Amino acid sequence: MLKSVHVALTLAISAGLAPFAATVAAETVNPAGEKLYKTACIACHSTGVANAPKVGNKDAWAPLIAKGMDSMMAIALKGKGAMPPRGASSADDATLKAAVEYMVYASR
Amino acid sequence: MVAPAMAKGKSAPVAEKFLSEPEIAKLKRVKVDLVAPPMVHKHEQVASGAPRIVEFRMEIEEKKMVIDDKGTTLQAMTFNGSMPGPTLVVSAGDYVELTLVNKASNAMPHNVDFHAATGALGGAKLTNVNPGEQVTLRFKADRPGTFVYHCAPEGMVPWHVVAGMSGTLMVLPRDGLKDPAGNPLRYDTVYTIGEFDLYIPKDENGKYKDYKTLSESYGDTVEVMRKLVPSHIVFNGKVGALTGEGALKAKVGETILLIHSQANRDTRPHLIGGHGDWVWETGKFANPPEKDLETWFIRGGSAGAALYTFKQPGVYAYLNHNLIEAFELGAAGHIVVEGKWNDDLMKQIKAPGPIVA
Ligand SMILES: [Cu+2]
Repeated sequence: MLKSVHVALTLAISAGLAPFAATVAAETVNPAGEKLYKTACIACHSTGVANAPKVGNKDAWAPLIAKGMDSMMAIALKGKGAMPPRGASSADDATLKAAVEYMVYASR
Repeated sequence: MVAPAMAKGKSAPVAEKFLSEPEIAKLKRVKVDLVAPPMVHKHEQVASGAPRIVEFRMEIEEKKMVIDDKGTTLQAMTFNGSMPGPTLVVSAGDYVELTLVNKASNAMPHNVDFHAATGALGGAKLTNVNPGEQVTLRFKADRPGTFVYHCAPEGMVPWHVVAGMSGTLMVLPRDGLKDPAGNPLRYDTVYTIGEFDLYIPKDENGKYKDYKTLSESYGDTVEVMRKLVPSHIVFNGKVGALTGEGALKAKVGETILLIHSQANRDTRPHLIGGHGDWVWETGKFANPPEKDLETWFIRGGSAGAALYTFKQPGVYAYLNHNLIEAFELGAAGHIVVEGKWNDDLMKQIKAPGPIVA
């Protein structure tokens, strides 16, 4: 217990100190996707808040990627668990899709 | 059966006795309706009976708030719609039983970490609630003092705190506050002040940005946070919240207790024209208070308390005595005091006039 708490705290504290994006080649298709990710989605998906699949974590994303873009977009649009509809952003569908693509790209 | 600590008159320590669930079930329950800051709900300064289970309910509300007179907005997160959240008061040995409601209209998961509580990251591990959920936590308030509570969702703790999610739990000694000689100290009125360091992003033209949704404010806000330079520092949610209509009120001869919380960043309260008669700047009542303080110091991540009996009428300023933080960034309020002027304490012998040789 103690140890897992320590790990959790370390994770929480180090959150964001090493933005994964720096290590990802900037060759995403639609730059609006990366922008939305860094504005909003990053709040939960950079560290895995409330079990959000952490961007860059291949194992967490593989099953989601396997189900396909339609399935991931359904979650992005409607929300799931702690994930609010549209990630609580005011982004349009195309931008949202670009952000999902960006996260998928960075998590392969 | 319960609590030897209820004896009146002397400072009996709260016994290190752990009750079983059936014993706890027999304790008297009371339900407390919270009130919005700067007011504090009605409470006893000296506990009249045995320890109780005190039930509270708080609703988390995310909302856009205007934080200065120029219309600058904050995508805020609050307990009960206010910054700070309401102050909860119990007596040492009581159990706090909080129901935390995350309204369905919110976007983020939240929880609560009580600095007064023992275990599970202050309760944070046991209170994770998604929008549309509620949870109930019980803990024993076994240490007297003023303690911060705040939201602490794993992975985004600082953001939730600086966006407004903090308040104070005051645990009074069962036999009330004491001076270092053991004499009782009592207050007529208690006010609660929460100081918030805010980090509002600017656009390329230097204007404060306004965001459509809470989550869209995240990325930019974190960048400002990392520079450690607040754009605003406010008492109770807004520049000037405790001035004009919102000013605190008192009378000559009245003793007030000022509770001051800062969940993230140090501050140094000062009452211009007054003092801290008795101050617990680290906020823990089992320690003797200090006397006659001009300025006291609240560590980021704590709440402190100061007693003062007014001796002169007039408008006082209560502020953070880094005066830039007070007058430029917003960390200042007023206390309007009625009563009769005392010439012995202060008198203007000659009004300002031309210099005479
Ligand atoms: Cu929160």
